[in-house]
Amino acid sequence: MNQTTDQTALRLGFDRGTIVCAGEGRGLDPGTLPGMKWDERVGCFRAPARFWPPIVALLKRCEIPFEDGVSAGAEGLRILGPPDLRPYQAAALDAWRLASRRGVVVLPTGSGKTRVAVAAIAGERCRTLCLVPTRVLLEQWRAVLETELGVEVGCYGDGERTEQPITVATFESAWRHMHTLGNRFELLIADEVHHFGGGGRDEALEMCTASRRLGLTATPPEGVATEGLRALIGPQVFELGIEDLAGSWLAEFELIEMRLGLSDSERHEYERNRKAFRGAYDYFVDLAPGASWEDFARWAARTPEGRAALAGWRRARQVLSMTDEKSEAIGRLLDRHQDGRVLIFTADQRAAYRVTREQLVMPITADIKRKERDRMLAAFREGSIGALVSARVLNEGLDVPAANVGIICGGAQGRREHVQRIGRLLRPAPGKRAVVYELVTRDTVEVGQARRKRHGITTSGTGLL
Amino acid sequence: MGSLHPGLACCSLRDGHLEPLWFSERDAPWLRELIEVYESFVGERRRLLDARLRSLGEDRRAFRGLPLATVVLDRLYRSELVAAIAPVEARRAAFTAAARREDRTIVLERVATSLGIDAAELEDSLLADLPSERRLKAPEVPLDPTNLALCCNLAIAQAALKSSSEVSIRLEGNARAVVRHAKLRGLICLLSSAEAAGGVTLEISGPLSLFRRTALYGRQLAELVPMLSWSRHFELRARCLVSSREGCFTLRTGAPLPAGPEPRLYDSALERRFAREFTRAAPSWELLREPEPVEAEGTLIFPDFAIQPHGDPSRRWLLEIVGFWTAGYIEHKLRRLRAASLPRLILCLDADRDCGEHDLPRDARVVRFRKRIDPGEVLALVERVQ
Repeated sequence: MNQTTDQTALRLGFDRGTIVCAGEGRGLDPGTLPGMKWDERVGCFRAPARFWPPIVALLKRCEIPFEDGVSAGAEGLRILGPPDLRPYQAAALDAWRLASRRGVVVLPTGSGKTRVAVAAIAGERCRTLCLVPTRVLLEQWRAVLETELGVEVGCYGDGERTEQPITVATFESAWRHMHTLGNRFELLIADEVHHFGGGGRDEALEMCTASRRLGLTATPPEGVATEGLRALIGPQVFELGIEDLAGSWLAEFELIEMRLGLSDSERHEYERNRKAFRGAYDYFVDLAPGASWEDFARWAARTPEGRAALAGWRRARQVLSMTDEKSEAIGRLLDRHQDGRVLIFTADQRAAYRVTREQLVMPITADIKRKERDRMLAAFREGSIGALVSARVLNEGLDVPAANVGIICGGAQGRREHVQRIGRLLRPAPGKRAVVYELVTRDTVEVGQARRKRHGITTSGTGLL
Repeated sequence: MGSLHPGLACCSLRDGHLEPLWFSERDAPWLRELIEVYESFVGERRRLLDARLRSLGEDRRAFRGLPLATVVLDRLYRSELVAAIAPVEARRAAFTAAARREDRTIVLERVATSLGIDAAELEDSLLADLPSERRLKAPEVPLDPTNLALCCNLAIAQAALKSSSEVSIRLEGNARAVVRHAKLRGLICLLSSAEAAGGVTLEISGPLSLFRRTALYGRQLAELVPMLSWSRHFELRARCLVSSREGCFTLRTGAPLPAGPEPRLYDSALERRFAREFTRAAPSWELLREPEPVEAEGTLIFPDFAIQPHGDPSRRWLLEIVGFWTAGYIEHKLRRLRAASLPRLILCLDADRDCGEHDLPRDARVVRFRKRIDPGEVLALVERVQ
């Protein structure tokens, strides 16, 4: 680093998630540095912290001396060496390194993305901050990193705030605390990175000085978010899908769609509410062709008829989230697979708790505390309980390698959620062949939704029951 | 579908202005009815109340602001766990036993017997700790519709500020507490004199506000609202982002908001003790807490105290207590005071953080202290200089 003691030289400092620049640098206008803007409030130049690496690179290239008050200091971490990698994991890591250690690796769920992250940390041996979306994943990442790297790992989230050279934080905690953590890490790893790029938590990545950035996901974002992610993490550097690994590094699986009916009262309730919704929605679409769902929701909220339509839409979805036939089918499937390990995915928590009450299946939801959740996940691994039911918590990242049967009863988040859920079942094991049942209600919107969600998932066999 | 905060749903965004639709006396009848609904469900499972609230929500015209009022009431009406057996224990036993997929009734009866309860109690306990299954508790202090309306209004104002990234406040009185709070929360606070005598204008934002509209500082900005009621006059303006649309939110003296907790008079026990001991030790002197801000080098500074003989403001001294300090900081401070033509400043420096006498500017009038500021030393310094 071009350290200097010259009082008039350019001085860079870290100020709550930003880089502040004072002094002069051989006639250089600091306003020309990447991301830099004049801040009249405090009378100095300022840039978001993520611009620190290109600022330093430019100053070095132009041989402009500067005083660096930003970096918390590098240190060679004493950690265990890189783990053994499968060929595609090693290729993903190479691709990331070749892309100047900035980029997004896309690998299907169950293919060992966390292992790629561990290898990246072990190879770089620098202070690392790992971001994960949920508290459940916080614990899981911490345990994996402590085992694989042989060090104590810091934690931000779930009521804890401890910093270590390797620290894991939830997205929410990182967003809240990056103003103090932002200059303390050189490598930033974001799991389930598709949450960034167009969302309200992008500031967490903006406020960090880390020059090396690795994003991991099974479902890369589309549209505008891709560009946002490119700026915050880097370009997509590697991609493999389920179809590339199924049968070799992922378990083979079978996707079975079960078409079910509605009881008379459910059908009546569904049709009544659907009709209330369709009337207003069709009218709106005629008025504003090409308008988005958000536009419709805004428009509908302004009139009693619109609000009734939205209420109808919600109630129709509720009817479908858990029907009598779905409930019965779950019971039969649990009986059929009583020697397997079954994950049941529902559209919402209410449906999950109905399964819990009727089938005596352990729920894994945000309401269940960490200690109990960990104990029950261990029991599931050991086989002392045979099934778990969840609406959202099991969707992303949570490692349940023992699972070999999936029952999808409904979902609210489309294809991405569907891919993530199926991925829960694909951790390989000798002789494992997973089976995924999708429960779809006949003559309802679920039929079209199921068709769209399956798009892009290649399986070794699908069928209709 | 992204949901709008219930507080923002009680605002109307028109012509670039975010207008709060304040709760008022005309809402009292339905607010009273709503409180009665909550009261009638005390001791019942929360989900039963939720079902009742959903049916009330069908008629949104009669119950404008119902979602917000329920958010406010939910903070006051907590819930408690009532179960024959700890739900964690009930789940562990029941779900382990159910792994063999026997008849549900048989499983529940066998597990209940082993736990010393009956099957119905076991079934009742399984999910009794879920928020929807907990029993509603009455609030410690009974609530009336007027108070509820004021609490709802505070929630509206705070929801608006949570969606903003910077605010501008003109205020008279209590400026110091607002500035202190903003700075403690890591915000950038620009100060200037307002037109009104003793008035101050504060521009409060966060470092990242320079680059993007961010909700990062919204929570800290919202915390300022209850403090404003302690100012004689105030006017707050914030640019808010609601569903991707921008609106200017304005809050003025007289807005129907509840009074926040009274700001602390002293920042520390050290200050409080000095004020008490000085008043006792120098009865012919007057000690003013939080004198008017002083303009210096384009900004304002807030001295901790002013001391002067009773009725003689011409012999006024400003007193500043400095806990953490460096020679550079002291020099900077003195320079600003000299620029303001206010050289009569006594600095009380914590001796445990001493940087060495030679490091201090020569014209600094300093009283060093350890844990307690001696009023006698302060008076002696004043007498010596005069």
